[in-house]
Amino acid sequence: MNALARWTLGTIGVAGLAAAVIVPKTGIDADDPRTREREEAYRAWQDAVVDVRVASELAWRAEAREAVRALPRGPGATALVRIDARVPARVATRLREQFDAELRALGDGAPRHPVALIVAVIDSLPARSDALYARSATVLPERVADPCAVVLLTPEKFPGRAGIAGTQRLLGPCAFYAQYGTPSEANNAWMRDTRATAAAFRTVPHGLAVDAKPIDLERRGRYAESSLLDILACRAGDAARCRAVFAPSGPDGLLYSDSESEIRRRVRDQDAGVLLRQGYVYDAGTYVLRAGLLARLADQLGPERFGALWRGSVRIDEAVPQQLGRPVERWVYDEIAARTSTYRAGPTLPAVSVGLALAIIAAFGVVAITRSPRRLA
Amino acid sequence: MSEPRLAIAGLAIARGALALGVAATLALSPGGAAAQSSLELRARADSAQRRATLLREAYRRVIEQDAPIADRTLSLDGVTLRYRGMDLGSADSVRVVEGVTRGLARLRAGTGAALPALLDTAAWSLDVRRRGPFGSSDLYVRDGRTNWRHTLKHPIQATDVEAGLLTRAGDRLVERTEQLRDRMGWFALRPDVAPWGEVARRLATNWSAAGRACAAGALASCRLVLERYRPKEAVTRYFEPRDYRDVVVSGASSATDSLFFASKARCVAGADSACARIVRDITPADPFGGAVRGTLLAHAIELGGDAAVARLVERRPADADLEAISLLADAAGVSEDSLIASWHRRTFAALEPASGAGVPLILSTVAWSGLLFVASRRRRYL
Repeated sequence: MNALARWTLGTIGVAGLAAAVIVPKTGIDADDPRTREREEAYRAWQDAVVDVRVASELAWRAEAREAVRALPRGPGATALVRIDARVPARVATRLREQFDAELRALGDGAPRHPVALIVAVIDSLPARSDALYARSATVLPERVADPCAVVLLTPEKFPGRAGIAGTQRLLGPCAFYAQYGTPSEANNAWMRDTRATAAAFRTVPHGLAVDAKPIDLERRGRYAESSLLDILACRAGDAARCRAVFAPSGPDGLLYSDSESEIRRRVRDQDAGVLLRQGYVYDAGTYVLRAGLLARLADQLGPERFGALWRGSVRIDEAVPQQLGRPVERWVYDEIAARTSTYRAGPTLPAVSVGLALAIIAAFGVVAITRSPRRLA
Repeated sequence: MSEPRLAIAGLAIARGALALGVAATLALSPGGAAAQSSLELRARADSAQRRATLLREAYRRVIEQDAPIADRTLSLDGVTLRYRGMDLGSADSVRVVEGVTRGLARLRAGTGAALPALLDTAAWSLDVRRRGPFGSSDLYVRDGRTNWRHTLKHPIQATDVEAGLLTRAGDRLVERTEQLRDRMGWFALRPDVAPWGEVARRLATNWSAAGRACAAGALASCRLVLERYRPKEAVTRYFEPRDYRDVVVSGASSATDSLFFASKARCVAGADSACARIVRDITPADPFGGAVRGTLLAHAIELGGDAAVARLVERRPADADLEAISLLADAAGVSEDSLIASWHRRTFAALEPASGAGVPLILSTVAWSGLLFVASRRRRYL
């Protein structure tokens, strides 16, 4: 056995011995029937918790949908406001003013498609853990002529809690209906299918005002919206994910737990046109980037061309290439690239560190080889 | 079949029946779930909630009946502890007993006659839970009031149990006293935890003027830092106008109107007047935290020893009117000013060794590189 083999085997032996001593042991036998029984009982309980959340989420959506179906239907584009009498006057006044102000900001005259603001007080059931919270939803038109409605649901114990977070606009996606009129069947379906993910607002909410400097994709928080992952992949050159940024097909929302993703997956296909809003935004930069894409398109095309696109028979994501002269994936990539710093996919060290480390190794290597009495030849 | 097993089997049948009921409700409803009314869906949520509650109870029963170490009782030094263990083998039992013994001995030494008052609970439980097949485990120490969780990266050791006892005793110390509840007590009786350096760094780089002034030696500011935290007066007590921008950027506000956000944008852009106008609408996060205030308790115990703990455990009618600092000074047997001054010395002395501790990186780099270089030039080492 030569010296190299002795060293190699010796190193492996010592490392193995060290691992045997150091590597943690949990002291738990995974094959123990009692362990399995515990895990099964725990899993059954957690599945039931997910069932509760799914049923509750669907109940919120159904409440919003029913509130819209109860609205009077009439000809013409109007702005309807229905506020439950139990809502305190100061809250009702503030919401009316906010609704009117956002409509006025979209342009002159009445909205070009019926829009509604509904504030409903719901009775709560004791078993529902979320019955103390107020929620807000956007109900997109089921049939294209239906109104686009903003529904604020507040529990009967706290009727004054109706409102929206500073990260939202009251009109939300309904702003596009109010400004550009009734969309084609295809584009109304597109809004519902994509859950208006790229059309959350017409103008950026005050609470999400972000710096003009490029968004540093390398720095991000512990929690992330799905938008962040799609944007990262797109920025790294994945064209399919660029399309998904604009027209997602998977469930949206937070990605911090498997059960949360499971809830969203199960809820998604039911009541697709009812969008329950999420008040908190973890990553404002990337959220605004994605949620404001349709607004960016409208700004770039101008009111006439975008209006024609909105009312045209071709889905918006398919009409973009014709309007902008480049594939939708390319347009999305350009939008993201213009507002983000360079991003390389995968784990990596700063280039300077890598270069310095390689230079030091090379220097020692050169000295060792050239100065060593043992020539390799 | 034992009674717990029978109970679990019964629960399993009950939850199966409930699941069938929920499924049947869904299947029989016209048009499936999507067409259900809000009333039906709320009833469904209610039913699902009841089922989840039953399954949670079933899980608890499985846990409770599955304890290899069940209902052991330790009577040591006048204190009785009952404990149960999950996922613990018989070898672990020895370590648990050793840990409890060592923990009690240390507590007895540090708290004297006050010990029974700090362990005045009916039962303790030790519960080790695995977090996935290759993950670490969590040790929970419960005493009927709160849980203390400790992540184990190894089989349970006596030191884990000892730390658990000391931690809970420290927590009990602050739980028992109204004036101390805004500060952490978990490390007050643990000699192995030294929060001083971290606290000193936190204050030296604090975003409140009071914190920075305390670090610079202003003992009046240290008093503000160590007093009971007053969130409603936080802006005026702890911050100066030059801090307002940080308060506005990082604090929470319930305001959602556009005027507020317009002022916030102007403040962030550099307009001090805008910051001053809206800073009163902001609730800043606690700039110090319970850990900083908790070090005063730990320091008072350092000064006063077990007599200080006994004084804190003992309740006198007059104590109700005392502020936290007065109470701790009284326990330590010194004046308030002296306590704050010695706390300041103790805290900021921890910064000094941090700057020069350890082997300098350059020496370490040169030593290792040189060693490998020499080895590469000597054939006989290979």
